[in-house]
Order: sequence, then C-alpha cells, then structure tokens
Amino acid sequence: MNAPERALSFLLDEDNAEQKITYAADTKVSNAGTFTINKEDHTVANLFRMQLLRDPNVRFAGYIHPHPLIHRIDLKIQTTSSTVPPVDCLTAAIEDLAGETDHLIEQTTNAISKWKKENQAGMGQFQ
Amino acid sequence: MADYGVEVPMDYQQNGGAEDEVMYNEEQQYNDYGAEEGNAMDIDDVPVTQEDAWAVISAYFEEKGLVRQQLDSFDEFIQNTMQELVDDSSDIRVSPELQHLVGYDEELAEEENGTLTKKVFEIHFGQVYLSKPTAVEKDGTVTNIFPHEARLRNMTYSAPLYVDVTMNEYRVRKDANITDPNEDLGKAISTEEARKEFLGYVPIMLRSLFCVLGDKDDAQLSDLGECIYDQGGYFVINGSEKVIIAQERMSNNHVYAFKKKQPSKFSWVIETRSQVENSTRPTSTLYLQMYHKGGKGAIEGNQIRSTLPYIRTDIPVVVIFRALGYVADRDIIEHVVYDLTDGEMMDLFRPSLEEAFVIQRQDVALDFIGRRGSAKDVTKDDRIRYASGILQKEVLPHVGTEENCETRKGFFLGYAVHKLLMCKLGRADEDDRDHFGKKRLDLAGPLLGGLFRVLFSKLTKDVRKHLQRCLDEGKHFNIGAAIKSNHITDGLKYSLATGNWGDKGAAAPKAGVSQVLNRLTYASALSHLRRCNTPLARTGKQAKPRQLHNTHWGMVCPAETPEGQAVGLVKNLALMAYITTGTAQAPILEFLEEFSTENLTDILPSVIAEPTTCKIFVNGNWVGIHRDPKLLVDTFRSLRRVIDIDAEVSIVRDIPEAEVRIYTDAGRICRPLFVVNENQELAIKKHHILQLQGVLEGEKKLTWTDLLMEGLVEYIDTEEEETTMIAMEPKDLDSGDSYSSTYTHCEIHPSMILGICASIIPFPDHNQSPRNTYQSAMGKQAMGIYASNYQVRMDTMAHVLHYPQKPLCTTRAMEFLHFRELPSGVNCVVAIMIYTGYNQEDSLIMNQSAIDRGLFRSSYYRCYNDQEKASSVGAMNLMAETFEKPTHDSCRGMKHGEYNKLDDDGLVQPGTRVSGDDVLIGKTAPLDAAAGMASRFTKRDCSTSMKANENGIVDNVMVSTTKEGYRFTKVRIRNVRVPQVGDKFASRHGQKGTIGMTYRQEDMPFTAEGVVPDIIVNPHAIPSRMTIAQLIECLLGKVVVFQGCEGDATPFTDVTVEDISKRLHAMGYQKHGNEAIYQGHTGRPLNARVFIGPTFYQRLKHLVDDKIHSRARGPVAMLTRQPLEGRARDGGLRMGEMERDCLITHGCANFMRDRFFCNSDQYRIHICERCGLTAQANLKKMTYECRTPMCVGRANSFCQIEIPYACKLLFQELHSMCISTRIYTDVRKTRDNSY
Repeated sequence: MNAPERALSFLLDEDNAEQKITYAADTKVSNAGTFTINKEDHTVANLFRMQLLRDPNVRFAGYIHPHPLIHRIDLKIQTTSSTVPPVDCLTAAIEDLAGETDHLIEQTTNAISKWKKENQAGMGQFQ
Repeated sequence: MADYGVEVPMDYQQNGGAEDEVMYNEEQQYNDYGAEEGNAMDIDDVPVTQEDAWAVISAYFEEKGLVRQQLDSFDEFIQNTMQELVDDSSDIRVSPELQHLVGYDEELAEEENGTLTKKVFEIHFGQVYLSKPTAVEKDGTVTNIFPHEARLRNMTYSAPLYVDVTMNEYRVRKDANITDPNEDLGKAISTEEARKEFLGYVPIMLRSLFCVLGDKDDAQLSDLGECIYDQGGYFVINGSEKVIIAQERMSNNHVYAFKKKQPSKFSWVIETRSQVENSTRPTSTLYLQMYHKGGKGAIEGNQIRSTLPYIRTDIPVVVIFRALGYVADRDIIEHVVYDLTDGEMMDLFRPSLEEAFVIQRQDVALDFIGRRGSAKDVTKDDRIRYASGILQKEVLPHVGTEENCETRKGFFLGYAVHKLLMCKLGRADEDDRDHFGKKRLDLAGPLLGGLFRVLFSKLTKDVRKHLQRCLDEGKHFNIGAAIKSNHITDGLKYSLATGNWGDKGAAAPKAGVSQVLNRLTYASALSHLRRCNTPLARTGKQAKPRQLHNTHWGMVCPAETPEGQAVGLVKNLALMAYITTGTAQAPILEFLEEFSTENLTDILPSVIAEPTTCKIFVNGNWVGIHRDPKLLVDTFRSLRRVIDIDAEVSIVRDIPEAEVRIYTDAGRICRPLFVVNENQELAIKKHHILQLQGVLEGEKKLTWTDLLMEGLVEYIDTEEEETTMIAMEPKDLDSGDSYSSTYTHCEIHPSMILGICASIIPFPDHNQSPRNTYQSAMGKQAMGIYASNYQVRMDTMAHVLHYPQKPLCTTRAMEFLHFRELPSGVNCVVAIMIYTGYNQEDSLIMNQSAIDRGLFRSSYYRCYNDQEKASSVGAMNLMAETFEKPTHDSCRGMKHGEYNKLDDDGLVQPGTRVSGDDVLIGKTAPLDAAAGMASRFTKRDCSTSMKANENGIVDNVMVSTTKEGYRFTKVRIRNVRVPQVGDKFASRHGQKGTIGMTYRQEDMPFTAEGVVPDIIVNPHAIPSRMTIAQLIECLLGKVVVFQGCEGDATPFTDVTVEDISKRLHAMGYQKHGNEAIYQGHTGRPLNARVFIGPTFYQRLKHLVDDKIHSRARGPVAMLTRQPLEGRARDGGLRMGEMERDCLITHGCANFMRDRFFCNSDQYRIHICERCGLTAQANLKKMTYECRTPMCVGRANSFCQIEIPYACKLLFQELHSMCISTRIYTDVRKTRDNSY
C-alpha cells in the first residue's frame, strides 16, 4: 500500500530531470570528485570501485549506497596527480570493464558451443 | 561418509522417524521373537518403551478427539440433565378461585361454597423428546437444517424439544393444601394426555450425539460444506460459532479449614459449601468459626460458633448439637473429639461446651436458634418448628434433607469441628485453596443445565398463570397454547449469543461464558475449545490463584496462558486431560454396603477413634466407616479396572487422616495413566501395543475402551493422583537403580502435560519457560488454513496462507492436532547474522526474490452482509427495503462512493476489483411520502460500502433469505497480501519480529553451496531470551532436509543435540550448523561463520497495510469539534499529556498553540467589552450587539476572540447553571461588579 514502487529502482525519474550520472569536483581535496550515479546499486558500484583500485593513477576510490531504498550511488575518486582527472579514470575503468565483460561473454559462448559440439548426441532433450 | 550409509536407519529408529518406519521395526522385532520360540507370550518379554506409548496415545485420540469434554458434557445435558430437570420440577396444581365479577351468580357460588370439596387441576410434565435440528421458514415449512446452512444464513442450529404432558383433574377436600407436592389428592376424576407438546428450540452442539454430522464420513462432511478436520464442540447461534468456556469453581461438600489473620475476630474458619447431588439449587454454605483468645466481653476465647443460613447471629456449635438431639456433653464430645483420652483437644473444646452450658435441652436449643431466625412474633412452637426445619432442609443439605438425618448431620458437624480443633492444635494444616483437586470445571452441560432450569421454571410459572386464568374464567384449557416456547428458545439463544449467563433481567449475569470461536488458525480454534476460565476479580493482586500449582501437572498446560490481567486465571487443558461428566453415586453406595461398610447410623461414635477404622466419604458426604480400608480400596480399584465401577469414579485413601474419599461428581479433571502392578511392571504388554497398531494378524484391533476394560490404563483425577506413585517413563520401572520400588502408575508420555498451542513448539523443553508462553499466544495469530472448507465459509475476516508447509521439525502430538494437514507457516532458510544492520531490535531481513517467488503470500478475506429489513414505517412489505442500484434522481443521501460497480440487482459481481468506499451492496428504503414535503426523492439510500482503507476483488456473493423471509446477502472480498516491510513474523519460540528490509537475492549473503537465506535474524535476539530450542530446531531441520525425512522434536525424549550434530557432521557439514558466508554485494567471504539452516516461521496477522494511518485534515466529532479517534474513522493522532509535557519542556509555546488549538477545535466568538459576555454578531451586515439588559442601547465596543470550541461549550454549560463567565480583554481597574 505504502511500499515504494519497484520500478523506481531502475527507471530514471524523468519528470524531475534526473540524470544517470553527474560529477561534482571536490571543493577541499584536490584531484578528487564524486560521481552520483542514479538508479544503480552495489552491482555496478562495486565493480567500478574494484576496477578503479587497479588503476595506478587512482589514490582513492570508494562508494556509498546511502540507503537500500535510495537508488543512488555516490562514487568518490581521488587521483594521484592533477594531470589525471577522476573523470578520465572512471572512463578508463568503464572501458576496461566493458572489454573484460566482452571477453567473458566470448569465452563463455565459445565454451558452450565447444561443449555442444562434443556432446552432440546427448543434447537432444536440451535443444 | 561410507559409515554414514549404515547409520541412517539407526538414526531413524532412535529418532522416531516416520511412522511406518517404526511399525517396520516392531514387526521385525515381533518376527524375531516369534521365530525364536513360536510362542505369543514371549512378545511380552519385550519391554514396552516410551515409543510404544504413542500407539496408546493414538488410540486415545482416535476415540476421543480433542474436544471430547465439550461433547460429553453436552450429551450428558441432552440425555439426562434435561429430563431430570423436567422431572424435578414439581407438578402444577391449581384450583379455580371464586370470581367476584359483575353478574356473578350468587346461587351457584352458594352451591359451590356449600360443598366440602374443590376441584384441583394438575399438570405433570413427563418424558422429553429431542428431534433432529430443524428450522422453520417464513412460509411455515419445517426443514432439517445443517450447520453450514445455519452459518451462512445467520440462523441458529437448534433442535425442537417436546414433552409429554399429563393433565389430571381431582376433587379434594376444601382444606387440602394443594401447594404441598406430597399432598395426596386421591384418584383423578379425569385424565388427559398430551403427547409431544412443543417446548422450544435447544441449540445443538456440533458433532454431539444429536448433531446431524455425528455419523458422517469425510466425503459426506465435505458434501455438506463442513471441514473434515473440524471437531465440533461449539454452537451456531445466529450464524456465529459460539464456544462455551469451561468455568472453574471450588468443589462442593468439602470441609475446608482456613486460618484467619489478626484483624479478623476468628483464628480459624471452617467452610463447607453443601449441595445435593445433581441438584442445581444454589449451595448452602456452613461456616464454623473459632474465636480468638482474649476477645472483648463474654467472648473469652476459643469458642466455636457457626453461621447457619437464615439465622442472623452466629450460634454456638454445641447449641446446634443439642438442637440436633445430642444433649449430653459426653455425646457431643464423642462426636467431636472421638478419642476421649486426648486431653489437649478436650481442653480446646471446653470453652465451646461452657458457652452452651445454659442450654441443656433440645427444645431450648431449637428455640434459641428459632429466636434468631427471620420470623418474628411467633409462638415458641412455631419457632421450634422453624428451627428444626432449617436444620433439616437448609443446613448441610448434602447429608440429607429428609427427616431423621440428625444422626448423620451430627456426625458430619462433629467431623467439621474435629477438623477445626485439629487445625487449631497444629496437627493439621490449612487447606490449600488453589489445590486443583478441589476445583471443578463447569462445562457446557452444567452451565446449560442451570440455564435450562431457570427457563423451564419460568415456563411452568406461565403455564400455571394461564391455567389459573382458564379455570377462573371457565374457559377450555389448551396445553399447547399455555406453553410459551419462546422462553426456552430465546433464553438459551440469548445467553449463548451474548455470553451473559443467566436470565436476561438477572442482576449480575456472568459475562463472557460463551465466546465467538476463534477461527484465525486451526490450532487457535482447537485451543479455544479447550479453554477454561476462573471467574475471579482480575484486578485482585493476589498472585496465588494465578500461579502454576503442582497439581496442575498433566491437567492444564504449564505454558499456555494469556499475558497480562488474565494471566494464570485463563487456563488451557493439557492434551490428555479428561473432565468427568458425573455418574450416579447410588451404585457406589451399594458397593460400599456390599463390602461391609458400617453405616453411620449403626455405629457408636467411640469406634471412630479406633486405629483400624477409617471414615468413608462419598462426594464429601460421610457415609460410614470401614475396618479394612486397604482391602476396600484394592477391591474398588480392581472393580474399576474392569469398568464394573465407572472408570471416572475416583478413590482416595488418606492414610494420615484415616479417610477414604470417593468422588463421582461432574467436573473433576483427570488424565489416563498406565497401570503398574505389584511387580513393578506395566500392566500393558508388548502384544497389546501390537494389537493397538493392528499388526498382529488374526487378533482384533484394540481400542482405548478395551485398554480401560482390561485395566491397562486408568483415569486418575487430581486428588487421587496424590495417593499414587507415578513413574515418568517405562524405563524408570525396570532400571535397577530406580527411584522408587512402590510405583503404582506410569506416565503415558510426559509431553502430554502440554496443551494444544504448546504442543506445536519443537523442543519446548529447551526453551526458557516464558518463551513457550509467548509462542502459545502467538501461535493463535499465525496465518494458516483455518478450516478445509474456507472457500465456502463466509467469515467476517479470515487470513489464509498460500502454500503452507508442514514443519520439518514436528512433535508427535502434532499428528492429533492435524498440524501437518492444516499447517500455519513455512520452512524458511534462516541465517542468524548481522548484515547491513536492517535487522536490529527484532526486525528481520527478508529475501525479496523469495517473496517474489511466493514466500509467505496470503489471502485476506472479508465479508460484508446486509438484509432487506422491514422499514419501521408501516408494517406492509411494500415498505420494506430493497436491494437495487440507487440512482441519484430518486435517492436521497447517496454516499460519495462508486455505485457503478453494482449490477442491476444491487450487488457487485464476483471478480470486480473494488477499493475504498466503493458500494458493495446497494439498498434503498422507501421514504415516507406523507411525512416529507414533496420532493423528487422517493427513496433513501442505505447501501453498504467498503471500509475506506481496504481494497480487493469480489470473491463471492451469496443471496439467501433470513428466517423471517427477508432477502439477505453476504459479499466476500479477497485481497492478496504480499510480505512487505513492516509485516510481522515469528518463529515457534516466541521470537517475533517485523520485516526491516527486503533485499533481492543478489544483495543477500550466500553460502559456499549458493544457498541464500530467506530470513536473516539478528543474533542479539538469542542470548538474553535463551530460546535454545530455535537453534536446535534449525540444526535438526538442516539434518532432516538433507535426509529427506521428518525431524522428531517432541519434548522429553532421548534426542540430544550431540546426536543431531553427529548426524549433521556425518553429512559433511560443520557439526554445529555454522557455515562460511559470502557477502552479497562484493562476493567476498565474511570473517565469521554463520549459523544457518531451515526454521519454521509463521506469518502473524498483524500486517502494516491494516495499520498504516496518517491524517492531515479530516472528520471532527459532532459535539466537541475535535478530531475523531481511530484509523477506521480516519481520525487524528492524539497529542497526549506526555507529548504535551515534552513541548512544555522545550518551551515551544507557539507549536503548542498550533497543535492543541489551531489543529483542533479553534472557534471564534464575539464578546461585549462592556459586560464581558458573548455578543451577537452578524458579520455579513457588520452589526454587533449585546443583548444583556445592562448593555442594551448603550454605547459599546465589541471584540472578536478565538477560543477552543470545548471552552465555548463549557461557558454555555456554566451559563445554563446561572454562572456567568465574563471575558475582559483589557485590564480593569475595579474588581467589583460595577461596569
């Protein structure tokens, strides 16, 4: 009756001009900034954080999911030098992750087709 | 793991396992032993184990069911009590009286006067008959009625009662006293018989002997719309199911001794509530009081006086003895002290004797008593007759009310005085008021009996009045017209419907005797049918009657009692508790006589003191003495064990008191026990067990009655229990180091001490005891399937859980509660861990994905009903209300809800989605055309709409007619409730909590195997509450879920945690049920191991959707204009005193004003600044005037002020009492009345 709608966890609130992602540079710490990603949760945020931490240019990467019913991620990144802005780091991280996932998909589909070929006889019921 | 495969069957055996498994084992054993010797006797060498007891318990429940006490008691009422009450009522005798009417015939009267005889008309009620339950329809047709129809059509399930009436006419002497029932009227001059005259309708208890369902099988029951698991034991009154709650009371005829504390004049008091067997007359209590030493005046101390009924002052007890005919001091002393060598007691009795020294003759003593009676200014003879009448009829009526029972009354009185003296001397203790053996439970039978007696006497009174009128007026007397059947019909119905036991006009009826059967879940209904109540002031702080007493063992459940004001006063029967229905005491008296009991009238009082003699009491009445009590008791028991004496009769041998007490009365609580013979062996043998299970070929299957007949088990009541030595389990008997060598009985199973709700708890013996109490209360709020026929029932409110599961960990008793068939919960994977923090303070984290898959979904049903009542204006049917779709052009007062969902017949269609304020039943009432002015409206709307904050789908619509022939409808709304944050859940261990957060599966933690918990509870819920059983349940559940069997969680068995953890370990799990857990967000393992496993959880009926409430603006109360209260009325949320205190301490005065004034009952008035009283203001015309005579016509100024409406009301009320309240808006110089 009073429970929030489930769709609110993945549909951007377009009426209020909600953006998928916004960036705000940190006013106190140099080379740092916070990305606010709407309608995302641990699934993507944790992935970003892990990938960012692999980047030698990143001094700090962390995120907060403020409340389980607030579908927003605040991702904070600090880079080692002012030459590499946090936005570049995140972009790089996303590209790397995209590559990695593509690779994963490829590997998986290959493995499946290989298995299918090898086990052609017994597959009848699953196809 | 290799060993493990071998271990499984052993585990089963140890653990009970599934039932066929057990049978298999026994058969095996039987075959083994049978093969060895080929002799059936040798089976009996196999010891009977605790496991075997379950065959006996099954036999018990198979025969008795769980509501046997209700059914037995009601059957007793129908079969015997009702007839007895009719027989007991004395015949109606009336003779015509002279009428002094206009035109009265002098001559005839002279003639009548001249004769020496008069006519007497006598009416005698004979045999009563009860037919099958029927109902009369509007058109007069009588049809058989079935309970389900009664429930649906809001009718009463009752059967007509008929009686044979004999009417005799006599001619007797003029001076004959016809009011005396013993007066002989000679031979009747004419006799008329009326067969089967209608007396009234008696509500019938479901599944009782006279219920139509009594002999139906499951298929027939479901055809009749009944639940196949329903056990009956309740009534259907006006469509609602009513249970009669057993009422606890003190037993009658028992001599109680109580010590009194200092402010009382007495040091000891003896009380005897005396009541004749099978009589429903109110009890007559005899008090014997011993005065404190050193009282004032003539009372010098230690005298014994007695309070007699109808006598104003206390009578010295010796005077009563003299009045009974014991004149000599020695005679009296022999009856009181018994042993004349007992100097101490003689000394104690001396003050009483001295007190009565002046009264030495019987007639003087009677006169002494008579003088203190209610009759005044009568002759001495009258006084003596009055006093002896009281002694004969009113004092100790249970000893006898006929003439010449003075001897026995003297003995009984002497016994009571003896007890008093013994107590005073410190040789006997005060009686324990809370001893359960001295308690009786009044069930449906005795309660209905009491009601029926009152109603029947009312009916006979009416018949007499009618007869008198007929005779006086010389009209023909018609018995059918004289019997007002609505006395019994309405009287019984009124008490059952309202719960006010007693006549409608009665001053202090007992409230809450009959209650609406709780149908929330199946177990709650069962438990309700086995409830008993102690009618004690609940406000009384006295703790003792609320405490669990030793004698409650096995009779009432130690866990199941409500919390709060009724704690300990409302009890629930233990599973095997049986309540006696009462048997006649005549056969017992015969037996006693046969076995050389010496009657009191035939013995010398000196015999009593002899060491071998023993006093014999039957139902509290001293009937004689016996010289060999052991033999008597042994004979009695052996006869009882073959049912030559009824099995429910109890015998108590009190060796220190030298008494044998036999009880046959109704309402004693007893329970069956295994009989143990002298050789310390169970009387029941292995072959009996096999026969019970029906595994022995060629031998008949034994039943519970067979066990009773063969003396293998017997009923022991609370009082007899104290003279037995009971082994806890069969094992205790044959072990060498047994605690006792004098066992007489053995418990059938210790888990039978629990009641219905506590029997659902797994391992209750591992819980802190209040937790079992909490669960017993909570189990009644759990959703489940409350009856298998819920689809055809139209209950006002019902919750049904979707896909309920039988628990993994069951108790053996659940089998009899049908908990497996109608369960109320789901086996969830529960992890006890801290995760994200949204399960603190008794909240739970639930798996949203599991919820989406249907976990704990439930349906909520609600019924709305209405009928076409006859309008109050005009009795014609034309004026009755009609179901139809009201239209705005012809109906006045239409509601603001949606009318479009109604069909043309004025009812919603099944399948329609309806929500708040939608109209479900359209109904109009005609407007009285004459009264109202001409208007376009001809009808008034009186439709029924949904509750404002509910919604759902129309599930079912029923249309029928009421008994009066009006159209009648019930509309059922269904609504699916999906678990959400705020809903309440509980395990079976008093661990309740609400959902604090739901996470989808990807956010939940998981085990190495990928198991994701359904529920995460906070570990802080465990240590302080000590619900160890929940952990054991989880552990056993885990074992059992992998083994694919049921876990046995019966209390008081040999199952240990170690056994369970070994079994778990053998399957490759950590033996204590802990597992490595991976964080759901990151997939990283957690540092700690987490206890995880399946636990049975219940969804409780408290759902947020039924509670959520907020309001900004809304309705206000008519009188005060303050906001209404309560969610149902869209009320405001109260800002109470304590909240106000907070605001004061914060100093936020403006906020206070806002809360208590602006948001409540702000009101504006105008006052005259001259006199300070309210002025008349017309804001439109901008005219203001003060009509106070002082102010009229004078120059004046006015002021507008704001005050609470309640304040304005107060001023008006004060004005009405001539107190003026003046409001001045500026500071005044003078304080007198000059203005």
